[in-house]
Amino acid sequence: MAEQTVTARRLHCISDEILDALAWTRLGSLVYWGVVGLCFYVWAIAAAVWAYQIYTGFIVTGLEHPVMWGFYITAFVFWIGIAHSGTLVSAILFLFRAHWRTPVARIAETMTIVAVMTAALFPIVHLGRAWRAYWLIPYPNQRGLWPNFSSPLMWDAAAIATYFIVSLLFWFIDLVPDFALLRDRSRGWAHTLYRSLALGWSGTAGQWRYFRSAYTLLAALVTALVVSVHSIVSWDFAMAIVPGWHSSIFAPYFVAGAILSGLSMVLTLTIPGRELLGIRHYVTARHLENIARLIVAVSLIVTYSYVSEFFFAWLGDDGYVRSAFIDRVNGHYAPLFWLTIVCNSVVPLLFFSAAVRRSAWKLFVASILINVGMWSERLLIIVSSLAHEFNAYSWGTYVPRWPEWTIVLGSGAWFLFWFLLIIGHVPPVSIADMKAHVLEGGER
Amino acid sequence: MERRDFLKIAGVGASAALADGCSGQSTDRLIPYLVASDNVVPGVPAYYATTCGACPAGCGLLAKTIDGRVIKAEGNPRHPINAGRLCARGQASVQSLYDPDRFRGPVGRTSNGSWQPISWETAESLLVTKLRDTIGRGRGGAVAWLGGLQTGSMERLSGDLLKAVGSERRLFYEPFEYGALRRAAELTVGRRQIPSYDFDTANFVLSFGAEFLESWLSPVEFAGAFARFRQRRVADPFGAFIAVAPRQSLTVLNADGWVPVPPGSEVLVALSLVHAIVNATAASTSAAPSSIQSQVAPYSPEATARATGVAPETVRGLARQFVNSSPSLAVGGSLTGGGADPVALETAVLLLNAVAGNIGRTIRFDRPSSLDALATYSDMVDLTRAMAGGQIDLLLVHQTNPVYTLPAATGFGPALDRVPFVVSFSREPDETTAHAHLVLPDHHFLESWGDYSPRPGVEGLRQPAMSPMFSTQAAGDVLLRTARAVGAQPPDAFRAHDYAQYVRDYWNDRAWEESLKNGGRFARQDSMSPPEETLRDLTSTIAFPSIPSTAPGNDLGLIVCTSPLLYDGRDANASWLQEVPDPVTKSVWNGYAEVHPDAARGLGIADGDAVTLESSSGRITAAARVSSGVHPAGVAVPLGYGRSAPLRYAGGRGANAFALLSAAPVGGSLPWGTARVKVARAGNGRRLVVLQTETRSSADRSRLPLDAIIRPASVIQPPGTTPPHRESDLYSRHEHPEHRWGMAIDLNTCTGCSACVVACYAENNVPVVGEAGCADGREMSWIRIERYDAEARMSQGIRRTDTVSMPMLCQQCDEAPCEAVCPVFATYHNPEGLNAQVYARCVGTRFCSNNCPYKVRRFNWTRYEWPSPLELQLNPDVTVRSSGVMEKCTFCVQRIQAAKNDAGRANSTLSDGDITPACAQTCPAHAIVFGDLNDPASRVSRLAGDRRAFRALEELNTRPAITYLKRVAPAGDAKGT
Repeated sequence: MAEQTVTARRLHCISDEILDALAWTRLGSLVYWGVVGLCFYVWAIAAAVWAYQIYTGFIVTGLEHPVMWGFYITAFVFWIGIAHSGTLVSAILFLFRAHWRTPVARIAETMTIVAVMTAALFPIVHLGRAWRAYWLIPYPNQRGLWPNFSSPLMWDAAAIATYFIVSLLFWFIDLVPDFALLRDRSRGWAHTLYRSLALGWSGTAGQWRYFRSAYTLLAALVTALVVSVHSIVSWDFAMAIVPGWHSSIFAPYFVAGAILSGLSMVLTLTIPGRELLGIRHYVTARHLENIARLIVAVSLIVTYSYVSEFFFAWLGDDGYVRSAFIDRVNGHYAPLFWLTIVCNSVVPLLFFSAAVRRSAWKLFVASILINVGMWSERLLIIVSSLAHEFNAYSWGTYVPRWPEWTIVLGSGAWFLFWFLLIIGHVPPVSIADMKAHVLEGGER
Repeated sequence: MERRDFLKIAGVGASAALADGCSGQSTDRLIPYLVASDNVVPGVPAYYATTCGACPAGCGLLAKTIDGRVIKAEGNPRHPINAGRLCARGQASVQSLYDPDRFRGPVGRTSNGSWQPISWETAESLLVTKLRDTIGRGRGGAVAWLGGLQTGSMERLSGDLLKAVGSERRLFYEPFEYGALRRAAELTVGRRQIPSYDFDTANFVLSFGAEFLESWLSPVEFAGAFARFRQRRVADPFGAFIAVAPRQSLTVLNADGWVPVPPGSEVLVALSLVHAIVNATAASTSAAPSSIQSQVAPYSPEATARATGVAPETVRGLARQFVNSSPSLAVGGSLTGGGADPVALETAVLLLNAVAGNIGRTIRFDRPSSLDALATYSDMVDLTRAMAGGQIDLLLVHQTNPVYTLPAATGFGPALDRVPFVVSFSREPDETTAHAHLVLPDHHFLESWGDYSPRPGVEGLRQPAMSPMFSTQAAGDVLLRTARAVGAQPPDAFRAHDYAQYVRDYWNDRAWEESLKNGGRFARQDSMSPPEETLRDLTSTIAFPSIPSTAPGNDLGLIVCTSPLLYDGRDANASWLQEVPDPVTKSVWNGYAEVHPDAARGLGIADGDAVTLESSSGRITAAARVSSGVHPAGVAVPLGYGRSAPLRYAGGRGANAFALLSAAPVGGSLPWGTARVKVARAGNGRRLVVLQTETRSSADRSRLPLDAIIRPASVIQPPGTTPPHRESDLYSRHEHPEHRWGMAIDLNTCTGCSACVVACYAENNVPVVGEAGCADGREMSWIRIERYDAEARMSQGIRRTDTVSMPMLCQQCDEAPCEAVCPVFATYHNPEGLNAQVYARCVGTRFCSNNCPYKVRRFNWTRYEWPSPLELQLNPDVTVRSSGVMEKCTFCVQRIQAAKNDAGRANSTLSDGDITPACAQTCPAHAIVFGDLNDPASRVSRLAGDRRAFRALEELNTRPAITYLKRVAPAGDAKGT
């Protein structure tokens, strides 16, 4: 009996503690609203710059013949990559019953959704005639025209839309029991809001049974999507005939890269986040260490892909491809190449050292470096390949200009804005999962 | 008020308002035709045959007008000079017509020196008063006419007017006056005239710098002849074209071999060749009198080798080839070269032709050229002296700009200021109008009546293709009225009531209408064998330069070069000519100072550095271009830049190379080749915008174009027996039930002159982006000329770069990589084999451009604008594209459609040759052929199956509709043997 009481109190305590993190978001929290407001301000400026770009034309960017894709497409791939680990941490680890995932899953999933929302901006920002973006949507229309489904861009749009919807459902279903808890503990308009979000959850055994099967099904589906979505994103490039893009290795290569960048972004967000939200004893050093271990594994796969790319270029009898790769290490964009190698292949090797794995700040710095490395990898693949194609007359160099910098930085603000807004209004750690985790004897 | 009263008052008021609004001349344009002219059907083009005025070559031109506006210049197919082709400058003449900087009307200088627009009445009465005063003071002889080359009506009218006022001072002045050539001909054969050259029958061509494919004498005519010269190789191994020159000009780039020599030493090479020939064939010296032998005795190949750097064996080899390939042809020095004594060079070249027996065969003196009437530089120096000495009271300047095109050291500008009254007929502000007192802007030649005859038997007519853009008056009309007003004698000479009538009277042609339609009167080319020319004894008339014994100092020899686009800079304000890359350097919008890498190393100059060039006469700053296309002892600077006139595209752009030249005439000519310059680094910077930085083609196939030069053997033998590799496709092939449009481009004849590029700008409303746009890689041209050099190698002392100029445009692939990736079907394969681009459908993902291996798609980075009135040149049959959409070559789909419509209306079917895209139409080398690949009998089908045929990046399986034909190297080339 006494043990039961202790357990009940501990469970109760979990609810209180996690919900306390939400208190941080109460209207009075100047820090929270200050940061959210600052993010809004920054992305509003970026939006104005975008309007300027639409009015003036792409002449304001650094894009040029032959480098028609630059910062915007890089940002797109980068954010889609970020979107990946959320699901990985959450769904794949769930399927493998890696219970240590529980405390970081919610943050990771929220990151996924917001990252997809951010990524989805860029295909539109990058359109020459952004106001015609709806022409890409397949719906019966008075124009009597239909999009071209042989274009990888259409596959891309479909894949991302699917991924977004499934990720949103996955995230939401996991939230339903937590919304019910919030409903029970709130009053006024918040009560009304949470009541509608809780979908009448009452915690009966039957509901739990459906919850479990739905969650497992979605976890399986979303796991498949992790692989498919980034494969399809990579085909935006691999399906083109550009030397440096046209390669069958691209799908696994991009998936691995996406996971690497996503995992490091989870670290980047979690390490300061757990301090701010006061959930250090939920998201512990062990969780961070496990993520770091995953990063080492994925980084080795990514490094293997880098080596393979060059090996194929050397092995193949294609002068154009070879020339493109020689240019990559030797040409105008060589600094990006070496930055990529250092950040993505060398820095993660530090995680072999337990001292690095267990130091939050070292992990944080390393995760930032990996993010930078992943950005430069995408930029390198996209830009340096285009800059050095078949036709020597048209070789060129691309240097981004201020509107591109502003809009890309603005997208970071947009990401943080929504991330903070959402994570401030839902339990940052799944209370239901946490309780189950504790009941099953896991550590807190 | 009664209703009737109201109507009366209203009527009077309205007519008063209207009467007030009707001022002067232009009301007739506002009233629609009561009876429409047969020639003007809205939207239907009318063509007017006229004569190009962009240079003195006098090509025939058809002005295409739609709704009363000239929109395009096309070659006149009936004209014997250019046979329907035009060069880049001819194509750009429509832009000089709509030049936004043209004078809107006459302007006079006020007492405080500023300009003021005045009325034509005032302007003409001012001229009449001044002229009358001058005559009244008995100073009629102090009236002078300084004009561009004129023949026919204007020649007579200006002459008659001067005669009437009692003056003999009339100079026809062109900066390129061939004075040395004329003088050399006088010395050698006793005829002071420019010979005519026959590339068609020559078996071997040796050039000493003559830029006959770009600006020398008659480039379009020569480009056609040179194409035939080179095309003969395809059938049988054929002689070569070797150039001896200090710099690779476009013409030298097209040579099969280049003998780089220090600037000014061409003459020594020519003399050593003569020496080698006369001594090798001593037994049969029928063509070489002993005087020649003694005169060239000091110039043995061994003696000259040290000064020229050309090995004696090379000279002997060339001499052998020159004699054995009879008839051969040696063409003289460059327009702007010839070293210290251009007459000596031209004489040596004529001697070389003489000893090889070419005179009377490939080089003839029985067809005089109108250019023979040009004033020489000495004449200009005399005029300058006369002006400075106060001997000229009234100067009429017509279609020439001597203040810019004479070296500053000549002092023409300051001398001009000493002339009490200077009248300019210039149509736009230039350096000379800056010194004028009165500007009476002439029509553009596309607005004018007139005539021009480049040589007897080729009399070109000019007729206005549209009414004048601005309030301009034909100079002829002004002269006629002025002559009548001052009572010039005899009155009969000035009887014609206007200049149009004057021209007609002058022609006195029964078949006037016919001549107008044809663009002139063209006598059939005489096939008579020319009279025998006897070689004069030159011993007493010319002293050939001695062989310099000491190496020149550290200074570099100045090589002034002409560009095929800018010529002498007269039409530099045509933005197309600035935007289209220089065919040799691929640079745009600016001049350069080209130095050899060895010289650059010595001077500490890197590519792109700002450098100062200082001669004894002047000093300029330019961007350095380090290139092995120039001899280490020289520095090359192009003409046409450094205009100081208020011209928005040309003004203040680059440096004026004329400033470096000294003033003292040599052999009567401008001392083009005497200046030595100090070159020094002035700072960093990458100011020169170069569109193609990598021109080396490479063996590992990492760069276009494959192996575009083949040896003659592989043409004559059937192609290799490698079986075509098996092809399988997931999708079925496109079907082309009716037509499949295709093109063949012959790299054997393409010279890279870039006329096609300008024609495409004109036809397809391609916007001009300016220097900054080009620097950002945003030029919009739909067709470009790519230059590829093989690894340079020396063979028999001759440098062979095997340069290929490859026009690159949309290949209209059958399996187009661009089509598959467009998410909205903005680009798709149409049933006639075109990659259609639907501008209205394009959303601007730019994926198509990324996936195009040829990189021929162009993105509209912003809304491009045409400063008024340049927008009047836009082709109404072609959409002006909006910001954010992709565009590219359409094979001139508007012309395809028009031809199909015409055939449909006439109930006939299209036949081969009915459709000609703008690029193919203007190609002076006839290198581009367009037609239907579905028709096995069409020219393009036959060429597509030619043994020389290849497709660009064929291994990508894009199946282009464009076939390139490989260039054939001459027999005897070391590569082939």
